[in-house]
Amino acid sequence: MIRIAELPFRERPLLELLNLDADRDEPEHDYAGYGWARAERLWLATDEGAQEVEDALVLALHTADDAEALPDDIDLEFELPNGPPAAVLASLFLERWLPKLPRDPSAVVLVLCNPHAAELRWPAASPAPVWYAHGDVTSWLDRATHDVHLVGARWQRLSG
Amino acid sequence: MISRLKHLATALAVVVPLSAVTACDTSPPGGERVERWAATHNTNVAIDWDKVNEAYKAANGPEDLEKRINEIYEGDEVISVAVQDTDDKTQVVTGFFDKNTNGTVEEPEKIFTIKRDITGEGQAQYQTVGYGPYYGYHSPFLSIVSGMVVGSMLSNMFMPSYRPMYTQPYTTPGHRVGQLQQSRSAYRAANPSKFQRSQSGRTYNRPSSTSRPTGRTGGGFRGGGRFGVSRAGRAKPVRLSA
Repeated sequence: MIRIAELPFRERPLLELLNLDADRDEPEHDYAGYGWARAERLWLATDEGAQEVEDALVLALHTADDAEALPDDIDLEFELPNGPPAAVLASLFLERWLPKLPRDPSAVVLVLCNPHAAELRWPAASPAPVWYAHGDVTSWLDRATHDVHLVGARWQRLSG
Repeated sequence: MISRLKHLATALAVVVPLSAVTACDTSPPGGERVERWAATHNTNVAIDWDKVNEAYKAANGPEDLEKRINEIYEGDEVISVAVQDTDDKTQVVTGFFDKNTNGTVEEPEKIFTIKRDITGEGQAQYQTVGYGPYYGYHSPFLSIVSGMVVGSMLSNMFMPSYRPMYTQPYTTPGHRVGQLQQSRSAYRAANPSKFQRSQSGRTYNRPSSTSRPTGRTGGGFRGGGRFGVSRAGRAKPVRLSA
């Protein structure tokens, strides 16, 4: 069985990672791509407004719509090229993977749906404040400015 | 580089949700609006979520709440309600179509939940989330503070003697469904103007999480991806723990 540290969680170009490299009007509902990227700047948006985050380490992840509701964790799901998908708790995934990723970002952004509004705990391995959302998260690209916008019901910031 | 965060509530307002669930607004900002309705399960009928949220705030108990919600709902089905205090601070209200009238919530019957949490002394919040045909709706976290005018279903939690009342859940009994239907029919007959919209067409709330951000420049937005996965047709995942 594959180990958490062996998941093919790779660096990808930001727009490709967020499925913004093709022109479509609406976010793809069943997009399953994952990985990480650096972003010079992006916007964390809600219905009330948006915040700009600079120099971010962006982690694109997925959870199943019917994943178990956990008060302080999210069950991640990774499609694998050969074999069934893998499930792993976000806390465990971050504990294993954050130390392997760049250590100099100013913020870490988890691009991840959180259908049960779990209140995540600060991942001690994070090199910077962590942003995550409640509710569905979708990615958008401003066609004019090429700014990336991540829309969620509410964005939360964790820091150590 | 130091992270710089800016509040741009006005400069980058995202579209305020329209009043309904499974629709996608495909209009470019400032352009002609084209609304596309996604297929739903057993109902395409609108729910005014603002009114549902207000109903919870005003309700004096589960029976009062189920009456209020059925007066809001414009469809033919009766919405049953389950209320459970999952711990000293948390209450979950589930709205569901009790299709088999067995008086229990089954996952495919769920249409919404309202989760209320006591967050501090004299403070609480609640959020409504849609399921099934209303999947995608998430209300903001709505605050309640001691002293606000709310129904006794909520105000009780601020009493010094408060003890959760629904550790054993309340669920709309099957026999009450008929009563609710009659009561709602009488309400509709007495308030015909409130139900004109459902005769001429259906309206839908758009999921807030897929609201298109309005452009600062009018250039429009390209959609990317959603960061959840649907279970339908997918293999069961293997759990990794090491």
